[in-house]
Amino acid sequence: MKQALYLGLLIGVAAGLLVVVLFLLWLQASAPRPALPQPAAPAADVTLFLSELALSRAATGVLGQPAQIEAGPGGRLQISTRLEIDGLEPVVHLGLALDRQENRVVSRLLWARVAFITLPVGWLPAAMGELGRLPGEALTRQIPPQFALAGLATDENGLTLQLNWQGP
Amino acid sequence: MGCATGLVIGMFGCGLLLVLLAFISASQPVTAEAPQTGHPDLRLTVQEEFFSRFVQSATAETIQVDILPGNRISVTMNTTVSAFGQSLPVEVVPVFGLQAAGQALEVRLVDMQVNGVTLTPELEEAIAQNLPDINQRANQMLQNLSAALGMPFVITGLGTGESEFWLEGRGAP
Repeated sequence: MKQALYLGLLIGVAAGLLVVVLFLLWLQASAPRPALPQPAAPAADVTLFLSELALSRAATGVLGQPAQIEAGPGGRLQISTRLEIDGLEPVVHLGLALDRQENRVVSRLLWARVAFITLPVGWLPAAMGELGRLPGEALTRQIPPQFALAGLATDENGLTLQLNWQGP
Repeated sequence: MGCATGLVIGMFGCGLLLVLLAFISASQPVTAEAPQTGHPDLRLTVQEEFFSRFVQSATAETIQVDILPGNRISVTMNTTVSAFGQSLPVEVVPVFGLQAAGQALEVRLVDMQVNGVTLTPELEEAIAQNLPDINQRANQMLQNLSAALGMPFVITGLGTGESEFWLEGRGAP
């Protein structure tokens, strides 16, 4: 009887671990990572490149707490910072997609990760989706009124903004 | 029965363990310091055609800006001077040199010609009285950019190409 119980516990622990790992892998695979197209464009009047460090420092200033930004190709950014969740403040990694809509930079949240648990945006509360729009709004506010946003691109080194002057 | 009990306990226990490990690893500190790479923190590239229109918009004179190799920019201005009771059209071509100086950009007059004739140093000095204002405006724009980024930066590179000039910087501590 005891042997059966111990054997059952052993099999159960192994099966439980396997189920949880498979579940985490499924969550990871279902988190969307769309690659935005990078159309070739003629040279704009002014081109501004900002490295990951520059973006991180800017984000730290905006959020009022340490934040780290990692850029990837195709308009993708990952912001790592602490978020308050039910009284705890774990480090949360937010996957964002940047896009240009006329004269605005638009960002949207794709996924959120705490340690190795990744949740797609559909599993996240609406408040986090609102949080994902903040980087785009912050970047748009930095565009001087005399300039129009002509292009936006990211790579593993940082973010490039292309601006055209609207003067005579 | 024992197997089923073990399965439930195993799944529940493993789930709790993984959540605990997740929160422990999520407590790692976040810093705004990314690993240093060979890339600058900031690079600003300005096209010649735009710069010419921009300078032209600030004055009533007819101005053409040409970016030259060797960190130089020439500005061709068509204006008039009064001589012998008449207004004479002249073409003035000052050539400015760009130089990085820490967190500031230094603009200096390198050469000045009027209708192909090189002026004396004294006349160049008189014409270059607007240089402090030019330097102040250029550096004010850099300061505005630094304030917008929330990061002071040191100019680490400066150059001119066929039709553009560029400026690179690294974040200052």
